[in-house]
Amino acid sequence: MKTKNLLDLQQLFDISSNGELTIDLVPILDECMGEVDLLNELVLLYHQNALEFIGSAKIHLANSDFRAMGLVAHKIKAGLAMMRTDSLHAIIILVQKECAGSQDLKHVQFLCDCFADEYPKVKTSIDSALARINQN
Amino acid sequence: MVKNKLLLAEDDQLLASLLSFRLKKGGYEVKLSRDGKEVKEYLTDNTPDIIVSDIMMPYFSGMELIAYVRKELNLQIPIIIISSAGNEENVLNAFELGANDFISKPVSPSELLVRVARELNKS
Repeated sequence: MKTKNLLDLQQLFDISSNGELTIDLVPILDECMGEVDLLNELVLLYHQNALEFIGSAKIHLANSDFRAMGLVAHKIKAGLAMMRTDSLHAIIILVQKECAGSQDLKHVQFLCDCFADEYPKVKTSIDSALARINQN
Repeated sequence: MVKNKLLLAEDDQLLASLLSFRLKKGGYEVKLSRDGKEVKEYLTDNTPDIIVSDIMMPYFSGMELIAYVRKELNLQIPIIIISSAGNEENVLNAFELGANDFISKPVSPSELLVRVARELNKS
């Protein structure tokens, strides 16, 4: 895949391509002071935000609106970091960088496609981690 | 014991839910506002003991909020700004406008509690 940020993208894929993606929600549960209901709420909001981003990105890219694209990327970034979903967070940082910088539509589209491809894997991993916590 | 009133202005529901929960557990009476309009309406009839606000908010940014509180309402209550990493220029502007402290995203709730307590002790 030839892109101008090939190195960055290879780093992204290394995060998620080495076997199964594992996400640990225990540190987040600690932040929730052991309140499992709150953790469930946060995970729900996390998924809503990710889906909203995927939907908004399609619209903003169709309009080549890099400012709006940058803003939606900014909005989701803190949540991705908070839930320690590093692969998605790294993609979003690149989206922001591109929107603020050279504004290459194809590159931003590619990054958003990477996000949309990666998100289902992250979702599966988060949902498994949450299920384990809910069982205990 | 009377609880300190804290206005939390944050449009990211994920972060707002966690911070609001921890601040309430920390003994604060928390008013959560998700956009600048709500913040302005709340401040018309209420004076919190401290404000914690994101910089980027719909309708009325954190910067505008600081200017509104300091210049129009003429209040000297502590204001802590939540900012994304890499927004150093915004943070400097926020201090110039009268912010007391800032905390970077992703926000550690424990760190925020310490900073809130510190600002309230100063005031």
